[in-house]
Amino acid sequence: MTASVEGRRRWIAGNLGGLEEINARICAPILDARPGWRWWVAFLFSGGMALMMVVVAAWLFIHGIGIFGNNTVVVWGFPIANYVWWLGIGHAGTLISALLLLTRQKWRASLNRFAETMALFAASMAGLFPIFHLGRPYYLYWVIPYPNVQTLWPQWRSPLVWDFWAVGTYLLFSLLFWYVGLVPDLAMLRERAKSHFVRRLYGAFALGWRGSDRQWEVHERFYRYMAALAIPLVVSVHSIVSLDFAASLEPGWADTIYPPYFVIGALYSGFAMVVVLAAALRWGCSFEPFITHDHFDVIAKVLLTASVIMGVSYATEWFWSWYGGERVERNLVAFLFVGPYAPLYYCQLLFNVLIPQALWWPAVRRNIAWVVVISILINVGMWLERILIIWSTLSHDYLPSAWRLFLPSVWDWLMMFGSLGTFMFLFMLFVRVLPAMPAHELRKLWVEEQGA
Amino acid sequence: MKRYLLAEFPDVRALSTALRRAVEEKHLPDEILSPHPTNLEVPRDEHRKPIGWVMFVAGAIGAALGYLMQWYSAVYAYPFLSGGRPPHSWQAFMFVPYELTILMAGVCGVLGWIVFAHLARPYHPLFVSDASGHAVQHRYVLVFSHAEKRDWIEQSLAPIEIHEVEA
Repeated sequence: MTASVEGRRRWIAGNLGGLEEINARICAPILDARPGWRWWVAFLFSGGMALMMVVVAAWLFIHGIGIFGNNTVVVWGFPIANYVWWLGIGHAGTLISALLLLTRQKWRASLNRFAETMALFAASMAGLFPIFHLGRPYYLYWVIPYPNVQTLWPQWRSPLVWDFWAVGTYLLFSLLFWYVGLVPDLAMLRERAKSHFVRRLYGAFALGWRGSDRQWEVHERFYRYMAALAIPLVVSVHSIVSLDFAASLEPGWADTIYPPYFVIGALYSGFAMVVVLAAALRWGCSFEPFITHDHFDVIAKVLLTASVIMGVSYATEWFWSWYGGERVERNLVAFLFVGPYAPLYYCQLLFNVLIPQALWWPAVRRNIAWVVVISILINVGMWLERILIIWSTLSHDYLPSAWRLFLPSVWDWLMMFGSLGTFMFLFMLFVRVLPAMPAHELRKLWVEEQGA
Repeated sequence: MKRYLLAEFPDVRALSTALRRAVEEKHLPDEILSPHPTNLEVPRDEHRKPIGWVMFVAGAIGAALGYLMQWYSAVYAYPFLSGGRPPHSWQAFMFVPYELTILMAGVCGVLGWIVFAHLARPYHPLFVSDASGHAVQHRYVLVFSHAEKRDWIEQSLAPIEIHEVEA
């Protein structure tokens, strides 16, 4: 028994001096250290990209979506692929946090805060793309039920209206979940901030948190209830996104596998993004004691499992297309493998299914550089999957005379990279303003591990 | 004017020992302050706050409102034919109530959390003491309102520091 206790994995590495050292390390990027050159380079670079996105959006609103590569056949193009891709990443943050809390995974403590923040920023990016794609974005409010003199109501049977409710609920709920977890740490910042104004600012958002036993009891129970609600929410939201496709009658889309396939894809790309951000934080904020090789090891196992499920999902699609016997479905699978998009499809299979199999080897899982490289490839692979779902089906459906390919315009690329830059820009601001690690959870974990 | 004594302890073990001693000798502290949840609570004769019920009822109301809104608008206020589906397409109406259940439970849960955890009170009399600041960072504190017991607290509970606050 003693041996098993001693042999248990520790999630906080190094010889930290105590709770105060944990606090100091977490608060250092916010209160103490001047931002180094690494932060400035990333901040200015991503700020430039964010500015680029603003310019592209302005140009889009002036000229309309004709500036994108969308044509009369492939009407969805980059904006909807970007929407689905970002939303997938946006989902995983809250899912990781809630799922690991309910399954009592102690390694959650190092990841949940920045994963939830990633979710908020990524879902915000996702929410912009359908608006960009609307053509008449100033009519966005038509999906909202509001009193109007024309007595018009939204079309409740439309998946696009379901999207609005799902994404809106997800954003608001994730914000609340994130904020509730943040309050005890804001109280710490209230106490540690040096300037009077900053103290008051953090103090206002800390809501007068004192860490009393009554507060902790309500907080712990409530936080678990929120986590229990977050999981069905996340599953529903990406399922609803998949219904944008599956509720149609298009070949390759009208599949019952779509909701679970999209949810696992979301988890997959989100976990991959968590790896990239974890490595960046570890390097940029000196969080080595909190984000250890063991963390990368366990995340890599999740990625590996998800990659196998993705492989089975792809194979299931091929099998049912053949077994269903529909000519147009079989043609679509042939188009995937030998059509003009085939090189991209092979890249998708390589990045999402084959290369992640390297994670079967413990040495690869424990090598941060390798896990990061594989994660970046997974994110590229998942983006290829999202774009190919749109391109392949729309450019090769029932009417051969309407078969037409999609060629992205320069604005498509600028908008996509602009959204990546904006996401990075927001994240760079976040690490300087709010604790990227949940200090109170790490304190609890440290105390448990020390047996103090 | 009320006087409080805040006794600081360095770790959970010391806090737990002191709390047990105080309870045994019937000098109950008002509350425990700690930088993380500890599973230690002052024994009080009060019920758990019904935050789960608040969320459950709010979620049920959200579901009902979401469904009624769609039913009213699609059947009475603005019925129109879409792909031959009936105005009351209950299968397609499941999504909005589902999302509103979770959203209402979450929003009302946060309001309940604020009320039940006595939050949104930026000022508290104990904030003038350093011990209160320590308690959200690295120390564990027992708060006593019977300030005349100072000697007993110092000798029996052996805190590393003791602070007195008048409020």
